[in-house]
Amino acid sequence: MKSSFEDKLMEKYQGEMSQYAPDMDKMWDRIESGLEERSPRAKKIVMHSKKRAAAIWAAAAIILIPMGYQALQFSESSIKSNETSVVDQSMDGASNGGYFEAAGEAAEEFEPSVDSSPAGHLPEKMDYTELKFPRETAMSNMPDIENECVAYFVESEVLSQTERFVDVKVRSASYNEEENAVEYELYDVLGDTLLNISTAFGNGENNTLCSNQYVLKIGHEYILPLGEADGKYYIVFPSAPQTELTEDGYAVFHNGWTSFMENETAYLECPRNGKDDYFYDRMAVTFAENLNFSADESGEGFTEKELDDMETVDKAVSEWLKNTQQMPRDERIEGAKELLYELASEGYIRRYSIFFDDSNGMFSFEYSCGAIGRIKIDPFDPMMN
Amino acid sequence: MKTDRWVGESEVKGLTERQFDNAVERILDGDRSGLRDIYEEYGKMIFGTVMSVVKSPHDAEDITSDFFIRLWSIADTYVGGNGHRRWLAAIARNMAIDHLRRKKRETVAHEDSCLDETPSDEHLEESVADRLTVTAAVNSLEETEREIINLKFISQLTFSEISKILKKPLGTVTWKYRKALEKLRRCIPDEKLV
Repeated sequence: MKSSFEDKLMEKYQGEMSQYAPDMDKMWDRIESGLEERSPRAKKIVMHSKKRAAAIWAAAAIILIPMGYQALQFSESSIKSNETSVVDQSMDGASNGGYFEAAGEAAEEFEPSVDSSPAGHLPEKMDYTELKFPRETAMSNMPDIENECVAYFVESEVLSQTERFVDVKVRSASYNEEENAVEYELYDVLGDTLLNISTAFGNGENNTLCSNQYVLKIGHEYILPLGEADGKYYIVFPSAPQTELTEDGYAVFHNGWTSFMENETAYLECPRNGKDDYFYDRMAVTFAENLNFSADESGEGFTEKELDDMETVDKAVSEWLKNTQQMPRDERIEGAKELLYELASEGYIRRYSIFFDDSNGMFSFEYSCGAIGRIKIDPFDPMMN
Repeated sequence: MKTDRWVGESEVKGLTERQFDNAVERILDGDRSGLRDIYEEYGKMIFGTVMSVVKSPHDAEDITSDFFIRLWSIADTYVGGNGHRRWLAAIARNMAIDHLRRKKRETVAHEDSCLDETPSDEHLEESVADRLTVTAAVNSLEETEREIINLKFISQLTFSEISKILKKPLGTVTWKYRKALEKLRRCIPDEKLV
């Protein structure tokens, strides 16, 4: 909701601007006199789906290494895709034997429906269970902490502290007993860097966590407001649900983010997480693209160079797979690690995007263009997938 | 605390997406009423958007006329469903910027101590505030802040649309907007807005 000052300021500014406005009727006469005749022509308004597609390349029996990130405990790879149907199909495995077809289609043109509404309208309400989140990985050493929370979320105050917003995936989270704090290792998706951030427990004031129900979940992706103090980043107002990106293209946030509420949103029905959960009935959802945290919004699909680069990675991996099929698992993992790091050093893969899920023997990574790649180490087992 | 604003038509005035699509279809059929409808609804918004960039009413009028003449020609490039207001504002802004570049005119940012980050002398603030209009105060903002205020107040875009036009992350847009408001509030007391 706008403040009174904001309303008055806008009204006054618009008023001042309109003083300069010309006679609009005369201007129309001028415009009309400059129009050339145009013959009627049949043209349908076509709508383009978002051109960011998840290209999922596959190779058989790939070996990948944990990369030394032993703290990485995804129970399921957190893979972002803008083509939900393709990802789902791939995850099932049954339809294609566990190997994934490339899904790098750029734009999809389609006829609008009779009412020509933009594709992807949200209903008035959605249920939390309708959304797709990565499987939750519990932190092994997190105590049950619940302090009285006295801080109150005010967007303007949060923004005044925020140095930057980041799109991150949580690689690890652990409790530091000595500091009484949660320590995160966050992968900055856009910057391809790692961030180490510590958040102390407290009563919510001074950017402390008042409850472990607001601790970020491993493997999940969030949009976080970060402040900076003494050369270190901190999460601004951690005592609230953070804006989260789902695997099926939505963004979930609490309605204290009035700026986000300006987009098309739906009320999100969420289960209450304990008697001290004050946000469960204040949650909203919008399309992730509406938040537009990527500076690159060209939406033009893959360039030829990007396709060539992806193919380079694919060929390298396929070649490696072919030559290492008989190798013991651990050695294959080691070898694949070297391969992926080498590809990253040459710029084909985003170095810090490489994740390994030991439970299903799957590596995921991002090509330099941002498309998702997946490589399966272990042979496909229809009983397990 | 629930909000009662979840879904539905934007509170901002203007055509709905469907109405705009219909107007464009009419333009493509050679029907000038389509352009007229868009002009009636957005003519002043376009003028204001252009004016906020070129700061010359005469130039803004010329550019606005050219805008709608051009719109008549390029209507077939419009892709439905992407937010027509943002599309219009982006074209208008680009035409205004191109105009400035052609004229090799630079926008001078007033280095007014009232709008500095560090607090300035109270007496100075008062005297400046007496002279400043909102327009002058906005023109004294840092470039990105000024653009965001103009796109928000004059073009009536959402933060999301602004972030797409300026190609800046949404968080940056909202943050700079708040910074700009703080600066303007320091210079322009409430009684000056009555």
